[in-house]
Amino acid sequence: MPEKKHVLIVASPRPRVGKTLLARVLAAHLSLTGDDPKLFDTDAADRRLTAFFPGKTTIIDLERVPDQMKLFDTLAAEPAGSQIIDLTHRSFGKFFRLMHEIGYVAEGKARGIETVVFYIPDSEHESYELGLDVRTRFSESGFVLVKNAALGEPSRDALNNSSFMTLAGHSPVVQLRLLDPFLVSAIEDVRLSLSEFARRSMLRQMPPPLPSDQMSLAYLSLEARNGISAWLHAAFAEIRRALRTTDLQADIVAHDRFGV
Amino acid sequence: MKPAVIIVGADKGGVGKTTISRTLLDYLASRNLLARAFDSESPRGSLKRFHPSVTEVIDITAISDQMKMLDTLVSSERKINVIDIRAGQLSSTLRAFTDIGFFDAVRSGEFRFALFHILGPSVASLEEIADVLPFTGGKNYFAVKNFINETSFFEWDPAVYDSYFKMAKGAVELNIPKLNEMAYEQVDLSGVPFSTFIKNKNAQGHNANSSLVLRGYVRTWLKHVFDEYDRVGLIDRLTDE
Repeated sequence: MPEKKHVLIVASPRPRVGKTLLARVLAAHLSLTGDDPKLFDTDAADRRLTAFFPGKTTIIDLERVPDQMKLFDTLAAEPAGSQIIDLTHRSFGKFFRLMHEIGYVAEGKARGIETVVFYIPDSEHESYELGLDVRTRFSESGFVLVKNAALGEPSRDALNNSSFMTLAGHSPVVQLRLLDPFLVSAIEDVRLSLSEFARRSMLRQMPPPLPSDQMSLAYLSLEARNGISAWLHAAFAEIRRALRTTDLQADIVAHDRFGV
Repeated sequence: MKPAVIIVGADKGGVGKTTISRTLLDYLASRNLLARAFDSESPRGSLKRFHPSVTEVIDITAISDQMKMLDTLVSSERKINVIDIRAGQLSSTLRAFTDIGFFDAVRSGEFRFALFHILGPSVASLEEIADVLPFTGGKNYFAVKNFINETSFFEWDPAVYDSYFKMAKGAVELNIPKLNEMAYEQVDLSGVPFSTFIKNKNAQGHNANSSLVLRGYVRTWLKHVFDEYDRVGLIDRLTDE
C-alpha cells in the first residue's frame, strides 16, 4: 500500500504549549521519511514557524476569506506530499468551525489525504473539554493526544472533569519528554534545523563547519547534541507509532463503511 | 397532485427576490418535486440565467403571458410553479390574479398557493404587508426576512413589527441567513444553481474547480435555508390533499 498523504494539524486553544516545536518535529520526521511537507503558519502576527522555515512556509490569516481559500484549497488539491498546519490558539475556534462547515475531512479523504489533529491540552480542564469536542466533531479524522511533559500535571479541576477522564483513555498518545531548560533554548534557536540535526545525529556526523557565533547552540557541546538527539528521536518514535495507529484506524473505518 | 403556485415578490427592489426564488427551485429539486419557474424581469430575466431549463421569461402585465402561466397549470407535468415578480409589481400582480379569479380557485381547492413576501430592512417593507395581505387572507403567507447580503440589523421597531404582523393571521416568518459575500459573488459569476455550485459543476455539467471554502460556505448556508423551509412545513403546505 502506498504511503498515505497526511494533513497534520497541530492545535491547542492555549498559547505557549509547544505547537510550533511540535510542528517542526513533525516536519523533520516527515522529511526524514522522504516526504517534503508543505508548511502553513496561521499566526500572521508572530510567524514563529516561518522564522524556522523561511521561504518554505505559507502564512495564513484565517480572518481573511482569500487566505481561508488559499489554505483549504491547497490542502484539498492533489498534494505532492504531506502538509503541516501550525494553528495559533487565536484561530482555534475559527479554524475548526471552518473545517467543519466546508466538510474538509471528507473532501480530503476522497483525494487520499488523511487528516490528523495533534492536540496539545494544557493543565486546565477547559482544554480537555475543547479537545474532546474536536475529537467528537471530526470523527472521520485522526486525533492524537499530545502530552507535553513541560506543561506539568493536569490541575485538580481537570482531573475531576469528565472530558479529561474520557480523553485519558484516548489512543494514540504522543509523549514529549521533559527537556533541560538549556536544551529548550538550544532547540528553540531559529538557526537550528531539526531535520538537518536529526540527519547528522543518525549518521554520527560532526556539526556543520561554522564560526561559533553563527552555529546553533544545539551543536555547541556533546552533551547538548546527545540530549537533543535523544529527545528528538524519542519524539520521532512516538509520532511514527501515532501515525501508524491513526492510519490503521482510518482503514478500519473505511473497511466498515464499504463492508469490503 | 394539485398544481401549486408560489409567488415570490416585493414592491421594493433589491431585497433578493431572485435569490429566494433560486433557493426555492433548489429546495424543490432536492425533494424530488418537479417545478417550473416564471421570471417576470422581461425581457432579460436573472432567474432564467441560473435556471435556464425550467425558467420562462414573461411579462406579467400582459394577458397573453398570464394565460401562458395559468392556463397550463393543470396540463404541465411540473406541478409547482415559482413566479418571480419583478420589483414594484407585487400588488398589481395580486390584483390581476384576483380579477382573473385565481384566488377563488385557490379557495375552492383547485390550486395550492403560497406567497413569499420578501421584506427588506427598511420600514417601508412593513407597510407593504398591509397592502399585500388582503389577497391571501393570511393563508400560506410567508414574510421572508432576507439577511443574505445584510450585515446591519433590520431597523424595525419590534412593537411596530408586531402590530403589522398581528394583522397577518396564520402568517409565517422565514429567516434567510447571511451568506459570505465572496461565496455569493462566485455563485453569481458562475451563473449556476446553488446546488450545482456546491457539487463543483458548471452549467454544462463539467467539473468547475470552484474553491472548496466557497462551496463549503454555500453548502452550509443552503442547508440552513432548507432547514427553514422544513421548519415551516413548506412541502406539506404545497402538496397536502
